[in-house]
Amino acid sequence: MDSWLLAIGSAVWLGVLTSVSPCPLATNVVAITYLGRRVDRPRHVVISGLLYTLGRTVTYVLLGILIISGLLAIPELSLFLQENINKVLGPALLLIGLILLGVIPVRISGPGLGESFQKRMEKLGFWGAAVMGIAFALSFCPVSAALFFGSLIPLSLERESSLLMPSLYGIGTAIPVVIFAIAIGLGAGFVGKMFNALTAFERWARRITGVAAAASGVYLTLIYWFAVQLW
Amino acid sequence: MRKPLQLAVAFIVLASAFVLAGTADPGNETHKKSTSDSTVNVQSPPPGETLVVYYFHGNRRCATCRKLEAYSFEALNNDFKSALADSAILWRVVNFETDSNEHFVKDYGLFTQSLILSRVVDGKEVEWKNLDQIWKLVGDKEQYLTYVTSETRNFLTQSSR
Repeated sequence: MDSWLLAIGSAVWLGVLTSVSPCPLATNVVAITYLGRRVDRPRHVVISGLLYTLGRTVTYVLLGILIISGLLAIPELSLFLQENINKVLGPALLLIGLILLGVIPVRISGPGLGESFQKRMEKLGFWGAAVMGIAFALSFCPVSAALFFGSLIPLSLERESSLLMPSLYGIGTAIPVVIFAIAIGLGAGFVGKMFNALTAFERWARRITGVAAAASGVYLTLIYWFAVQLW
Repeated sequence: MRKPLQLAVAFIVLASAFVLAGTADPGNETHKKSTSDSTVNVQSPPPGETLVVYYFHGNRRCATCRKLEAYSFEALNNDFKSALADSAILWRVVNFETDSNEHFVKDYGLFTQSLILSRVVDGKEVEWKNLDQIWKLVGDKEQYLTYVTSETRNFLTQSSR
């Protein structure tokens, strides 16, 4: 029983350790601003946070199952994800940031697609958080790869747990981000209400999300496409 | 139900476009010099028994990755200076993403930056160990140095039995 508690604690702690390490900082900033941006709707912030956690958790569980069942080998999978997902994520975040900021006005024509893409993206809210959780969980960097493939997977194998341990790890990776997002979202909402300027706060929160996404996109693009060493 | 689907499709389309469009390869060495770039070439160890300590890295060198390398070399340099000087211990910094070094990925099952101890007797590797706790300890330099030193000492002791 004690050893199980220790394993459970280790899995969560490995997740937290992954999240607070420097290399996922760029994506964490995007996640925090995205999840916390609906300062006018606290319920929205909390549910988005839960769905972000769910997205991360499901991703790690699936990866764990694929590895533990022997369908995928750790070195190939780890190196593939580290190389390719961040390559995709950089330009994608840049584009999404520019769209959120209205720099790139996108209109999709077709039956039932009259609204601007920007407005539609804003409305995606909850599910965008889940998709973000999946994408960010897949964007491994050296630290997260070491902790997931080198520590969490051996722990899962030892405990014969391809569901529980990766789930707890996923929750651990989301905890710091969700706590920050809720604190910032609710805090800003409270201040906005106090000054009777909730709409203005919400508008600024959305702009900050756009700036964070675009900046992180530029950062990841420079590193993964142009091999620029920024630190 | 359409909304999540639309977002997922948008993301996948974007992702595919960038993957398909791009062939830019950042696979060059980094711009900054590492602590011991002079040892990047993986030359053969001398005859007799040698401990080769490999620090493996990829094309991109994150701040934590540089710490791993620096701390590892510091641990060896602090406690095995004479062994390093007379080549009883060889320190090798290797980019496993270059073509000639890709075999190390399979040889040692590398999936990220790693520190490997390899015992070589008369030019042939007889034993190796991945010091897989380095990532957990990198936040505490003292613990990290102690870990690398004690693992290296144990590995050396085993060989002299």
